[in-house]
Amino acid sequence: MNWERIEKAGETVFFGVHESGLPVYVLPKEGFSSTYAVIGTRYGSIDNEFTADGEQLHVPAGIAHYLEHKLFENEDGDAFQKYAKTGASANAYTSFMQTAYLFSCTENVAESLEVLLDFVQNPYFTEASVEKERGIIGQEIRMGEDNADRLSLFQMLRCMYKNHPVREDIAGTVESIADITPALLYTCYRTFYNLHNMALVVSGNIDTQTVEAVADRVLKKAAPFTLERTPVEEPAAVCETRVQATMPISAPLFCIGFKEPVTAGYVHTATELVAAELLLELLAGSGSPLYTRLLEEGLINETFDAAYFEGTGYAAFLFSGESSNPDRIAQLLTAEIDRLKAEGIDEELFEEEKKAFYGRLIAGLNDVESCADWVLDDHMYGRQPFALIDSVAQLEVTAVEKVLQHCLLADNKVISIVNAQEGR
Amino acid sequence: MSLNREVIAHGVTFTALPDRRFKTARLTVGMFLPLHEQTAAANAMLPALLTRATAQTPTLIAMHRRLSRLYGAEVSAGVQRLGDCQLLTMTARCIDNRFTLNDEDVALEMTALLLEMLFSPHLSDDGLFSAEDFAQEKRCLCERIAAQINDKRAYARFKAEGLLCPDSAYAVSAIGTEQAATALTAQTVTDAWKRLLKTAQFHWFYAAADNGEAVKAAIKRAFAGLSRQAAPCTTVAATATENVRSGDEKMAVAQAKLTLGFYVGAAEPHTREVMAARLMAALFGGSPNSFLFRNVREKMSLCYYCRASLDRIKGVMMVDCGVDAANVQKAQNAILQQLQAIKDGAFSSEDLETARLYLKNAFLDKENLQGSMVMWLLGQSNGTLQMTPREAVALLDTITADEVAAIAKTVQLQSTFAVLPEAEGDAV
Repeated sequence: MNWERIEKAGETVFFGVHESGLPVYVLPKEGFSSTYAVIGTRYGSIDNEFTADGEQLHVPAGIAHYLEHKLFENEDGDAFQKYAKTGASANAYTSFMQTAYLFSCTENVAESLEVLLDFVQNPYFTEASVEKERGIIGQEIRMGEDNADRLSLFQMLRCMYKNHPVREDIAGTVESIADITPALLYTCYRTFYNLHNMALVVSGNIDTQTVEAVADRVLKKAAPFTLERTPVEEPAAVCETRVQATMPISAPLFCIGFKEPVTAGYVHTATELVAAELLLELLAGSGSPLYTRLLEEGLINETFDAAYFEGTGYAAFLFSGESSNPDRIAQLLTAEIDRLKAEGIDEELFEEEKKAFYGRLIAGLNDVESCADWVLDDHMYGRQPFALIDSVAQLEVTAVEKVLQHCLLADNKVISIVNAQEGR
Repeated sequence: MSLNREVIAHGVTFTALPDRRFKTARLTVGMFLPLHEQTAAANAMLPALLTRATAQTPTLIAMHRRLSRLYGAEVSAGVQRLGDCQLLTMTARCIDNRFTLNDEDVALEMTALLLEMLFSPHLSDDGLFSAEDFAQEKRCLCERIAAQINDKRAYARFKAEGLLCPDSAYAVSAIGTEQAATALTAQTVTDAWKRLLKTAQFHWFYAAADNGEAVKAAIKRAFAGLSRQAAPCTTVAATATENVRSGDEKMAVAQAKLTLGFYVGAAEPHTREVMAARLMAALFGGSPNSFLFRNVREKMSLCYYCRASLDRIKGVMMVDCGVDAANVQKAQNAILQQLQAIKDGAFSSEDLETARLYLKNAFLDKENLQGSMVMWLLGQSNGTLQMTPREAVALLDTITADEVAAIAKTVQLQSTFAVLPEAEGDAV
């Protein structure tokens, strides 16, 4: 393999494309005894409409997550049992945009890497095994249904998005997963689990030679990758502006979202991402006048959070937490947004927040796992490793002003509330 | 790694963990107090109250700006139960001095800030905590206590623990009760702060690239001249009883949450028996290849999670799972069957070695995470013996199958608690 060496903030990243077609990143971290490896595919819960073998398909909600569960089971046994022999601690996750399989270990690195690269290339789905998993995933879905924060978010998304699949729960529903068959799983696997659509990142106690040797031994050459994701036509406006539910919780939970109009297939740049994050800090971070006011009025507690929620073709600013009066929060939030738009951003505060953001990014390079996950995310979004660090360093207040003026529009606001059941 | 825990004042220790691998400096203080229902709420408020402001930096906005100027330094506060003790923590983290842009000594400034928070809080002229700060944190604490019902899995576990060790500190919530929190005043919380300074066991940990001498000196100066009577903070190991105490509660949930509480005949400081118990718990239900995972989840498809966790300080083990309401008894029976299998020694050497290997990796990985290493040591701070992860692995490697089976034989079901749906098919 030809390895490109990338240096950033004291980290060294080696990047190469294996002859099989798989992009590979290796981050040796001197002195660390553990190794963490993650292989991801650009296939998440939002990819439910695509063309495969000339046929346009719409697959059930939750299938990407179902596939993640099933991939651990191969014809020659369960991957967890193979990992048990090497001592690696393994896991996987499915998000809106990607699915990833990972392990962490302090010995038997090559053996563990071999297990990982082997099972993700060898799907094996039978009627019996798929049916067995339905019960387990059904319990996972039930567990999610009892999570009030999750309900608060997803009912907000369903009001915000008319067509975009981000409105569906990642795991689907008990009803939607009932339609998942081995044939469908194989179709999704063949469509998305092509090494050209994936990336491997290995960090910690590792070197390029070890990774390359395992890759040479295990990886099969991938066919050229073509994928036609069906573009989603999503209106700029929200569908509903308000939704409520009730659960046995102690106090109301809220999620206020501002939908950002995004062109289908658009991927935000690193500059846009850091500008959005910095804007949130200035608007509603713990050092903002709004935060102090919300606390003084008894409207928020330590559960309050502000986040930029985005992926390919969708984005929103979210404000969430527990509150006795979510509508008052929405009112004060809107007023503060209007004030900032009218008065602009204080440059001294901007510089302080920029410095703080830089520090937090550096702190994020502290451990083996977070470095690897960061690089995988960067790859999935088409960025250079740790691109956000340079973006922060070069960020100008005008970039944040631009986000402020174009986003956080009152007409695009949704307020989701989960009320406390009486008697609790 | 070798541990060098130094006593720097009466009831105050300091441990430096110099390590150039990390990009941050981290200072944690763990403060141990006996856990009592009468004092838990007042103590629980202290970390949040102390870390929001100081005499020199009296507002949230000013504190945020001060931390921003330290390259986004973060200060966090925590409260937890450790055995029969209440552990309050305050942690400050910043980027290591090597990564500053102008050779600033951020670590020492961070240390000064944390000491200010502890010794120079934001008080009013009457010598009590600022009325506004107190009022906000009291409300937040009350809401946090009330919100314990939101996480049904954690709620079921807490109730099972209370049934497991009734009438003991173990049954007391680390953050106190709603009644006690509502009754708090600025006076009682200020008194709690003074009592903390006078009687708590303080354990400081400094993890950074340097050897921490300057930080240690600053902490030592802060405690010098302070009149202290550090109170012992001990845990009474659980004892087994003949009866199984059970309870349940119905709520509008989609899935039942079941927790079983077990007595285990091994508790700190009996190090060898405790290590055998840790290996037994991993084999039983604390690893991805455990008996509970392979059988109750994978073979029987009863649940998504079914996990065992050992409290080695108290000598108890909790098993919790989420199942359909109709399968609660089936799940309980299945869990007990798997436990019996281990008591009978019906596990292969391969089973045992995979559990051992999993645990070994888990121990060694602590050294690769700055925060995890500090918490590993803090969790042992109240005992007489501290082991590094490598020392723990060395001991783990010597534990035999017979010892695991012998410890399993001491395990007895003592409590069960289930959160159940209000009606069949009940769902949100």
